[in-house]
Amino acid sequence: MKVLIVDDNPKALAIAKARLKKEMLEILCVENGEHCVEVARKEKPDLILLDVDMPDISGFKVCQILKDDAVLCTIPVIFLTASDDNKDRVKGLDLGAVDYVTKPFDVFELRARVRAALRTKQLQDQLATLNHELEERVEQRTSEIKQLLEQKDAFVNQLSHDLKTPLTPLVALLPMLADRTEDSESKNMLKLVMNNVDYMKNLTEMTLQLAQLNSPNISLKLERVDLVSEIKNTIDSLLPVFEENSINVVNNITPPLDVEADRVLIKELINNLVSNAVKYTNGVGTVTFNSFLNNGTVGISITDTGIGMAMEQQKRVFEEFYKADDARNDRSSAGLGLAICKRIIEKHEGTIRAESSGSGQGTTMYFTLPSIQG
Amino acid sequence: MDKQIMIVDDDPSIRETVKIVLGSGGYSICAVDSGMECLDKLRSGFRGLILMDIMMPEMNGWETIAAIEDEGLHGENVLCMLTAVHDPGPELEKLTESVMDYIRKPFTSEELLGTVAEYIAYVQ
Repeated sequence: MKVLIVDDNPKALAIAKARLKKEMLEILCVENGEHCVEVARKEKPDLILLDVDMPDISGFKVCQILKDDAVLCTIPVIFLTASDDNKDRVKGLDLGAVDYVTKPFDVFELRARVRAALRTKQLQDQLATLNHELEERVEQRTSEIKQLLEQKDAFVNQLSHDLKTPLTPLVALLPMLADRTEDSESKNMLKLVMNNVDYMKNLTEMTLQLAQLNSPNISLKLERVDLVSEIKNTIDSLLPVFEENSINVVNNITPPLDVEADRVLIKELINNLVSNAVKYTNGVGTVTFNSFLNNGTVGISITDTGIGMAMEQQKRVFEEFYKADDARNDRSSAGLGLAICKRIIEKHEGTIRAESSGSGQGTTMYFTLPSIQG
Repeated sequence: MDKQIMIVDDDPSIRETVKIVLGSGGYSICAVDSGMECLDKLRSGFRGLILMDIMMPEMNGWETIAAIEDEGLHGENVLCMLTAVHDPGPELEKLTESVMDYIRKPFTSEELLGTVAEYIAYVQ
């Protein structure tokens, strides 16, 4: 290993060099601070022994220069000091030196301190190398995972795309066939088939949409969107459903609630959340809309008095293909609606969460978006 | 020649579906399986509403439209695209002059009949 000794006194340099002969080190000597920085840059020593009292630039100043340098700052410094003054030692250590040795040197102490500093340096170097390797491996693994995710999305995209063409004759012709069928048993069979075709159609469309939302290349068509009117429109369009299910709607949304957003995606978000509220209210109940505005953030909550969710379900409800109850065999749900909502919100730099006091206690869906009031 | 509807799609089941659905609405249909054939029909004087698939081998829907424009065959015909892509928006925006609208697959018979009823009126 390489040690650089810096002292304006040639005799002191010679002594220090002689004392370290036994340590089998490559020793470099310079007589002033300016040279010290030059040689350190060129030779990259593993340790610098630095005299404090030098005429042109003091050892403290040199240490400061070394520690301010992005490359040289990793070289450990041991101060050589003639003074027994505690203040100097404290100052030196505070400047980033690892140790100090008081002149005249005790040969064993000097060697021991040099060895200790070099051991630490060696460990630090190893650590830095390992860290660097680790970073590279993490980076490589991350890019592999990213590539796999992209492949997954491309595959899902292609698959759902390819399913749309064969679904077309089923979606278009089965209802026509059902209309022409007189026999009630055949009608029932066709109804069963059509329900399943509808499920396949929804699953295909939602899967495709999720794959597109997962893609980093998706571009939002941002414009000023008034959430108050978007929510009102959604409520109005679902009024027949609310009435049919005896669901009471309480709309406490208050303007202004303007956000910069992709209108089509926001419509879909609101529609998904409100449809869920209706679906899980299971008949008679109330759906309540509230809005909040604070610190540049718009918040909307949609609360139903429906079947609610256990803690485990609240945690997982935004996962792709998660269904609260697999055994329910729910043909009306693809398990993608809330995953899509979450992606939409994330693309708009907002947040979304589900809250419920438990099964049978109703659910509140809460989302926030950055606002553009004023 | 009466106002007609041409379906351009390489998939026979889509051509057949469109024929059945639009046939039930009393329209007369001309079905072709490629952009080349579509151009041939236009050259021999087809006039009406064209429903064109986007993803076709050899010559896709957009290339076919470009060829129609190049040969000046657009005339008073009305074009609607059939697409399995979720949102063909960006591509479509470039061609609003030539293309009236698009219908997403899978479409219901009501959607297809509704679109055709809406746009056939624009055929001069």
